[in-house]
Amino acid sequence: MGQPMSKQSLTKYLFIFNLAVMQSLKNSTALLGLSLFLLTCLLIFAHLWKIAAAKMGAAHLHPDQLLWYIALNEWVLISIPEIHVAMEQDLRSGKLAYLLPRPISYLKSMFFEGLGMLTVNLLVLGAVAFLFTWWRIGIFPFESRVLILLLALGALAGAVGVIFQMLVGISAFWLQEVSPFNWIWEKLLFALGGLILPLAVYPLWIQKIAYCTPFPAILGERSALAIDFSYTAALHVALSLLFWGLLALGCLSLLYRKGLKILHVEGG
Amino acid sequence: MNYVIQTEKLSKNFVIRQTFPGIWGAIKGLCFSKTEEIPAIQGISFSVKAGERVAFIGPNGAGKSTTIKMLTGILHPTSGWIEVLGFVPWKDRHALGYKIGTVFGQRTQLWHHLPPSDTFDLLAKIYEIERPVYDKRLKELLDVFEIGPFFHKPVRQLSLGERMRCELVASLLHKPEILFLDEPTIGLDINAKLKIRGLLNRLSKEYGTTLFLTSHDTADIEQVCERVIVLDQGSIILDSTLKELKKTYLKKKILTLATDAQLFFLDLAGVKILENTDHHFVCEVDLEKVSIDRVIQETLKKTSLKDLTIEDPSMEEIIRTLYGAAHV
Repeated sequence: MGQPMSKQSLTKYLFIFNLAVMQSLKNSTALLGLSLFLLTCLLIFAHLWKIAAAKMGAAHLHPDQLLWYIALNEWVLISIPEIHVAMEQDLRSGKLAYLLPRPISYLKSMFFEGLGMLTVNLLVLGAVAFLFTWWRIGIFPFESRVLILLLALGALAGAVGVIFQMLVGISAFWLQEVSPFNWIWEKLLFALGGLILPLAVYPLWIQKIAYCTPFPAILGERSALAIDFSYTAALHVALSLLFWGLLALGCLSLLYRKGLKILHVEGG
Repeated sequence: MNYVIQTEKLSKNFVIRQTFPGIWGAIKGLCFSKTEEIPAIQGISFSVKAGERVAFIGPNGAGKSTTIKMLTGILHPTSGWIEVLGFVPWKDRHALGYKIGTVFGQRTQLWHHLPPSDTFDLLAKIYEIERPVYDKRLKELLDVFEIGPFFHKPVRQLSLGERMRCELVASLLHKPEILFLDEPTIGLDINAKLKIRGLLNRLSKEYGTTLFLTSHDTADIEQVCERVIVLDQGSIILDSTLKELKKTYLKKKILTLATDAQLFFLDLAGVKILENTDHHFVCEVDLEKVSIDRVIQETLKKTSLKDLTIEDPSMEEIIRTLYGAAHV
């Protein structure tokens, strides 16, 4: 996203992060809605996996393990704020043009705003997901060190998700509507990320394709650590997330610069 | 002369992609594209002195917003030269950002769920204002704009007028030397409009801020500005003081009479009757054809008068005449 930040610049963006946290906390209705949606998803999948396991026999996956897997997936997935909507509105309504004279980067401010919203969602939905799953299963299977790692990887995956959401939003410079693009992104994330089924049960050729994309690291590969944890696997997830996050940041920065050129010539 | 804005032969062309009509046209458009260059601004030159209050007006599509976008560094001109406070806007937008303020009537910079105080704090960070300086400035602006009562109320609960006052404070925190205002009173009720106009005048007098305003509301122009630049189809068709404008274009007066006679008629060249009801007579007098003296003399021959008022036509009428003249 451009040049490295000075201490003074960082203060500006951290303040935006703070405001986004405060704004999200004040919007309690939205938080309640997201929590109820998460609970509904978890309830449905808990029942679904119990029935499936009873019928097919849980060969290598226990329904309790799968519920933790799905809880970790849904927790991050639902926490990622739909920042692309705000960006699309800013670009489409011409608001971006009016924000440009301020001595602050639009892209960085949106990123920190997204991170602020993500943080609140992760904390609230994390509490809902973990408490529900714990209550449902009756045991808490993680050591504290593993739990901290899972939480940290969840936050990192959420941050990468925010960057991809911004990539969707920035496409409004060229696309009439970004929602079809977002639809594709979401469906690929669900399918190749292994939202409801661990990637290990997918056909090998799909697994090969999936692991060439950022989706498993954001969802399935990360959440599979709840089933079979190892520090090597956790390190692999962290590195994958960093790689995809940095790559997406680079693309975002490049596309934004190209988009701004259009704006400077054609107006907002 | 201390100019804060200078433009010379400023032009901006937009390249528009042409579309073909009908379903076949849409299919054809997928394979072939034809572009056309549309001139939005055509070689305009003007200067604005420090502290001036300038109305930059014109009909829709005249190029007002395009010009403001070029002055604030958002748009790059196709040709010509601009200098704002010694900066070339499209090259030094970041540095210029610290010295100008912008208020756009239909766009907000306030955070919806938070009180305005939080947005002000953020802006203090963005513009790198030191805490004691910010506290002092904020106190001054809170007094001037009277926003104390809703300073800690979430923005979503504010009325449009209150919100606009907060937008103005937000744009003034960093003490900008020039304030660009695009339709600052749009959608406001009459009381809120009066308040905003009063505040802009106070702002200009107390801080010497240069105001560069576009508005379709002629009362904004009349009550706030001292100079008018009229733009039409990308060209300046008039650049004059408000006084000069009125002197040049006020060729008509509106005469309102309260008469003793219930009804009376006046048949004089240059007099256009606008209203004629019980004891109430309103007419427009064309001063190039007949004098006010003559109209009153002729009236007194027919009826005695209880009351008489002579008014200038509204600013709106003048502007309409101006736009009309440009298209003849």
